[in-house]
Amino acid sequence: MAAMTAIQYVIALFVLWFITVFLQYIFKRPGKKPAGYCPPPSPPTLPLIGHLHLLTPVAYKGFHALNNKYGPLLYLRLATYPAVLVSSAPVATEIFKAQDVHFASRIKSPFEDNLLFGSSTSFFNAPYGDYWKFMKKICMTELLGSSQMKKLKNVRHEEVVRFLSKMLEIGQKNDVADLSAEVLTLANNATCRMIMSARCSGEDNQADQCRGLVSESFDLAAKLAVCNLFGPLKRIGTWYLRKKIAAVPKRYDELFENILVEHEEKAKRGGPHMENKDLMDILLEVYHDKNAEMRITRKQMKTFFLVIFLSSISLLH
Amino acid sequence: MSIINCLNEYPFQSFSQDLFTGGTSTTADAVLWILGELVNHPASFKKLREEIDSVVGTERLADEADIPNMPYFQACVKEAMRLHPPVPLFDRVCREDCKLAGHDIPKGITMIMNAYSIMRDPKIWDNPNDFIPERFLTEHDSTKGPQNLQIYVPFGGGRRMCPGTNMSSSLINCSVSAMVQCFDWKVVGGDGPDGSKLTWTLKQV
Repeated sequence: MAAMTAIQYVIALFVLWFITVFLQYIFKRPGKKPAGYCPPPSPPTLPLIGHLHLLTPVAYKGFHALNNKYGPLLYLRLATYPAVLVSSAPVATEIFKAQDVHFASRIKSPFEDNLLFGSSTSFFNAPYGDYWKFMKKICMTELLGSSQMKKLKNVRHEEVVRFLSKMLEIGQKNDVADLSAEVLTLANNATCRMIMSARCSGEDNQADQCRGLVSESFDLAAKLAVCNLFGPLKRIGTWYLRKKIAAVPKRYDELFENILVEHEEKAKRGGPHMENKDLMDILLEVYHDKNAEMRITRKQMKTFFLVIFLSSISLLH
Repeated sequence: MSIINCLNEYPFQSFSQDLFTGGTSTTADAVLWILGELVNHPASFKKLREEIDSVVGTERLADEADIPNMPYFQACVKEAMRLHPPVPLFDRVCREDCKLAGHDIPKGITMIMNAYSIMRDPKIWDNPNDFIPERFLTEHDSTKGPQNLQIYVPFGGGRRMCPGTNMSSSLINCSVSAMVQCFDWKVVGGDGPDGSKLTWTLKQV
């Protein structure tokens, strides 16, 4: 029985391969590309799904195997989504250095898709342009630069000490620690406090809300990303998820508006020389600065924190 | 819409996995992998503990200001991040038709960069799959290859390099140094730092 299934499987694969070759032969449009056009090499494809079958549960390991088998620069088609896979230092160096400007844009993050937050509000995935350049400068000089990170050293230190005492407590009871969970709590709390002076776990209501919302949006974004692989399916997916798609940005907006207003009130009380500024205090100063090179909008600011929050929990670069 | 994020965040079997309970978290993952590699390599752990003890002493907790004085610590962090980049895949979009390594790349196409492959390339790294912190202790900067090749890219590179590198590194440094300084760790069950439980015995400080 098992042998039978294996044979059927092989036959099915062969038929699919045959159909692919046949269709490619029929639909080949000669002369469309200029002479000498040389696309990157591509592993064998299947009809409709393209190279989707080559993906493995851990995507980067599957891509690593493709690199070992077919080379460091490959053209892939993930269902209807074309992409070029780069897996070697020489090609990466060309992208990062010699041709950096040609590759200075990024794909939209699902959290910044039009559906969720509207276009042109993001920074991390913003197209290469004035807004991105302005925010990059602010990030490097003020927000995420080493001098600001030094100022936040005590916050990290406190959270590390809190983590160590938790470990000590567990150890004195001779228990086994679930280190993955404890380190995650440490990272999330330290990040939340650096960004907006709130802890992620415990009684803090806002941080808790934020956390729930983040995990919901990851879920939603993943579903949308899968729909996106299959062109026409995207509309069905969007329709199916329409209620959540409408609700999530609204809730983020309310949550971040509340946090921003609290920070603004704190800034009014504290005056310009307020101590212990978190990242939100600093960006609010840029927002209120009438002489700034570029005025950022409230929405841009909210998206910025949303993405910094999401990305420190899972760095989206 | 991002395919890459999805690939990074969600191994295809676990779309609805709760991010905070079992999903991947990059900074936390990096910390766990570094500690995991050190636990699996007791000689490195011992050497690192000795370095921390000689630089910091046993009276106080290791501080971020001590990091520049601890080359072996930096090498261990780098080596673990080389083997286990927290974000193995990242993306670029090609802004205009161009040539890359002799091949035509059309405008608008998504580039998927695999940092995992780049940092395990046997042409560049000796024994690429082994944890050898000493490779970063050479006189020349081992994060740069011959002809300034970008061979070490845990945070990407170019203009679009991760802007949160400082934030992430500082958190990694202060937590890993304290964890190695204060406790002895032992893995219980599981087949790696991901998902396995760690236990420890208290080191007398």
